[in-house]
Amino acid sequence: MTTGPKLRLGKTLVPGVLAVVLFAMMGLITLNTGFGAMSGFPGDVSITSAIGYAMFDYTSLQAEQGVPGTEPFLISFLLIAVVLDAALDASLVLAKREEEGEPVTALSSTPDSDVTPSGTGSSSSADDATGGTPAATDGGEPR
Amino acid sequence: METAFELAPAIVLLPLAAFVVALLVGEYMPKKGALAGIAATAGSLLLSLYVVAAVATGGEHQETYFTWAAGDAFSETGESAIEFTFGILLDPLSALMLVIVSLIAFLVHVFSLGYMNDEGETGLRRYYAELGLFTFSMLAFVVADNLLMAFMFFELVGLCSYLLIGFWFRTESAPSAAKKAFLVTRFGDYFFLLGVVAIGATFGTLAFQGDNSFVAAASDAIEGGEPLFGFEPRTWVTITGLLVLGGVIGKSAQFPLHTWLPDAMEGPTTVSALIHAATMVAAGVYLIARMFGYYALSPTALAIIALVGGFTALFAATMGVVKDDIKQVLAYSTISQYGYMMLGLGVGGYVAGVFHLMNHAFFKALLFLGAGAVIVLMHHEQNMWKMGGLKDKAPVTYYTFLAGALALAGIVPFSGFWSKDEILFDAILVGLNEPIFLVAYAMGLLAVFFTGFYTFRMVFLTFHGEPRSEAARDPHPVGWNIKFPLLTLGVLALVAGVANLAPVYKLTGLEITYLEFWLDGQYGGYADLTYTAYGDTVPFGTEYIAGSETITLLIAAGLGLGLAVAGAIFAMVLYNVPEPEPHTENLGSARTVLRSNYYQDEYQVWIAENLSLPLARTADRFDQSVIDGVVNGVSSVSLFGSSRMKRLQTGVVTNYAALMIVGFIALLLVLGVLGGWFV
Amino acid sequence: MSVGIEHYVILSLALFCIGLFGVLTRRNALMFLMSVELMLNAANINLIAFAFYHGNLTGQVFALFTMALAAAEVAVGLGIILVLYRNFRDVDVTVPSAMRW
Repeated sequence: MTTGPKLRLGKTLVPGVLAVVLFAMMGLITLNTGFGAMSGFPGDVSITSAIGYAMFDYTSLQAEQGVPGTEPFLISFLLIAVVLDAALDASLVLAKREEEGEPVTALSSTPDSDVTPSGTGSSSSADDATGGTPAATDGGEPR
Repeated sequence: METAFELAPAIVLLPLAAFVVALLVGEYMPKKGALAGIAATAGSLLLSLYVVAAVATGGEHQETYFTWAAGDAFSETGESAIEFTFGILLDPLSALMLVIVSLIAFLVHVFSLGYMNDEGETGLRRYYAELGLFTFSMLAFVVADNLLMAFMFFELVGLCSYLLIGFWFRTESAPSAAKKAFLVTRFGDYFFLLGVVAIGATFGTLAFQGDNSFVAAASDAIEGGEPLFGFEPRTWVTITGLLVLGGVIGKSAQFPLHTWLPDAMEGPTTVSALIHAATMVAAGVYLIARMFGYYALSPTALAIIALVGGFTALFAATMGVVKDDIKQVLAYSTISQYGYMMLGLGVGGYVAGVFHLMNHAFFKALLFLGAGAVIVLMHHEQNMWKMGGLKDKAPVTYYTFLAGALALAGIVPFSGFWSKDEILFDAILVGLNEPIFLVAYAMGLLAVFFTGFYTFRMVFLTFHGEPRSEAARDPHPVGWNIKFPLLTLGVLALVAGVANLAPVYKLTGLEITYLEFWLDGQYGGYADLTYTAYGDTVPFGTEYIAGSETITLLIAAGLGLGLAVAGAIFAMVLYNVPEPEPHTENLGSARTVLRSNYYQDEYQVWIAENLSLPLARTADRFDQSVIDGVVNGVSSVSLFGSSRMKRLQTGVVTNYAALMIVGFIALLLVLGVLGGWFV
Repeated sequence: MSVGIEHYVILSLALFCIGLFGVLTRRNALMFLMSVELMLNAANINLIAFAFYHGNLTGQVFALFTMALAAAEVAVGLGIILVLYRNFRDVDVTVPSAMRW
């Protein structure tokens, strides 16, 4: 019989009061701020293509069919591509385990290590497709 | 005669050079620095004589060499700036003292060749260096032209005295005696310093002479009548004078700060001769003479000086009667004779006091050097009961010692008679007018009897009778370097009285009181530092017995001479026998008291242990618990605060996030309230 | 009533504070990461709203970039959680507290 995740109530919720206080304060400030009216977008422009024209710095196209005033983001686009690539590699590196000089992937485990990529704490894992010994057990292995 | 005055600083600096030479290269010199010292003091002596000649032909000189601090002043009399300088003042008094000091220093250096070098003493480089330093300090003190410079060199001679008393520092008694001397004189010097500060703060000047001297400022203040620091001007002058007197009492070994001088005999006899007979202890009396214009303004201070002097004269003379060590007798004699000088100055007898200072320097140095010769003869035995019969074996020593003894006892025509008689004469003149001085006179007169007695007891026990020990039977011979100073001083003890034969002048009208003319500025000198000027300021009237000066003179001289001779004859009867007995033991318990020095040492130790020590302990405890407590408290507040604050850093990331949000909310709140966002 | 910019701002504020609540109170590292995602998305809403307010597409383009960044951050964050679990045997964020006084 497994139990579902339970929300931890009680003392741990005390810092949450700060979030409420922040909401209240900022709300008050916002309501006291005199914003103007919303100026919308020009009606007949395709927003998606306008985004594209602006991002890739197609100035002539933007002048005709884009939303005027939008800034170009070409360099940022290239940079974010690099950053995403880097993040992917970083997460792969972090996830890899090495034991006795041999890389171990997440989909296998050795008898000595009982590390499984599953969360503990308040949540128990019901599906343990990657845990235990190669002879797949049904979560009954004592840990 | 300007060159004499230009060369005057060399008088002071030559011994300093000897000090440096002895210190640096003394080890390699044949006599370990003695020749440098002899050359330096001889040079100082010649230059001092040259200065005397210059002053005698109508010169006087005051020059400031170096201003080491100057600034705004706080002074009651309205002076706005004060300066601290080094300068010299050459007038009859200081020129006379320069000759005395350099002559005796020279003779002591020569004597040291025989006493220290020939006796195979070690550590001589240190000895001659310290002698040179002492001579420098004493000469600088003598020519000082302001009170602060005088104070600095006063302290420096005290330091040299400490160094020289403790010369044989590997014994137990010598360093202890040196510490005692330094501490007792320092105690007096503390009051002296207070006096210097008080005078400087009151008058804004510390110069001895001139229109901007503190003496002139004080007499102006007294005429003006404005209160100084809440006191009547004359009272304030008395108070500051008495503060300075504290230093004088310490340095000149008057009661109650006399206890260090007998212990100072632990040093070599040459040191005793130079420092503790003729020069350093003279510094105190010389200071009073130098500042006499200031003391003359205050009859109370003069009365105290006279009473202290008279009392000390009698007090020390009684103690000298029962001592067995030849140097101890001479030490108490020194204390007693300086009492006479204080008595003389206290009754306004400026010339008498200075005359006795000069004579005493010569005959006391002679007696100490003679005692040194006796010690050498006796193979370093100092107990008089082991001596005897030396007069046949050492005639030069005997006759010069006898001359000194006759001068000390005050037998005519030796020098001591003339000066002591003049002091007593001045005392009785003033005493007949103001009875309190009659008490001081009586004490001084009684001391004459004791002086005669102990002096001749000393002479008879040492030189007459049968030899009482092996060393007395077979004395160690002395060389010319011991005999030469003894002869010089012996002649001076005989003839120095010629300087001021006041009774002869009064009886016959012959104008031969040379010292009086000298100190009166008749040859040369500053007008405000003369005997006449002082005499005009001193507020004591005089009276004669039966209204006649001649009768008073004859009675006073007769009493003094008679008592001295009586004491001498008494001693002769008791001790001028082949086998003298210790007659002082017949005094019984009186002798015990006298030998214990009236328990003054025990009394001073008691004060130190039961008054100063608890006070010092309380102050120390206050310092440690309160002051250190405050400082430690501040640090412990910081430590406690930080040990509480550091717990903010819990290591849990969510706490940090919470703290950030708290800060952000606070910032928003402040900005919002100030910027009117919430309104 | 017409929808003014204040409504959007309050909306994004509420979302942000909910995410903040989660960051401050949740113990599980994965829930923590989810709350951070919420906060990022609140910022995105704000950007989009103000793009419409100013009539300028800069806000929308920028929102695209923040989304990409959020993805990258989640990838790295998950990797960190993996390493955390390996070392502490627990994904409770209050457990690793060695970097303190």
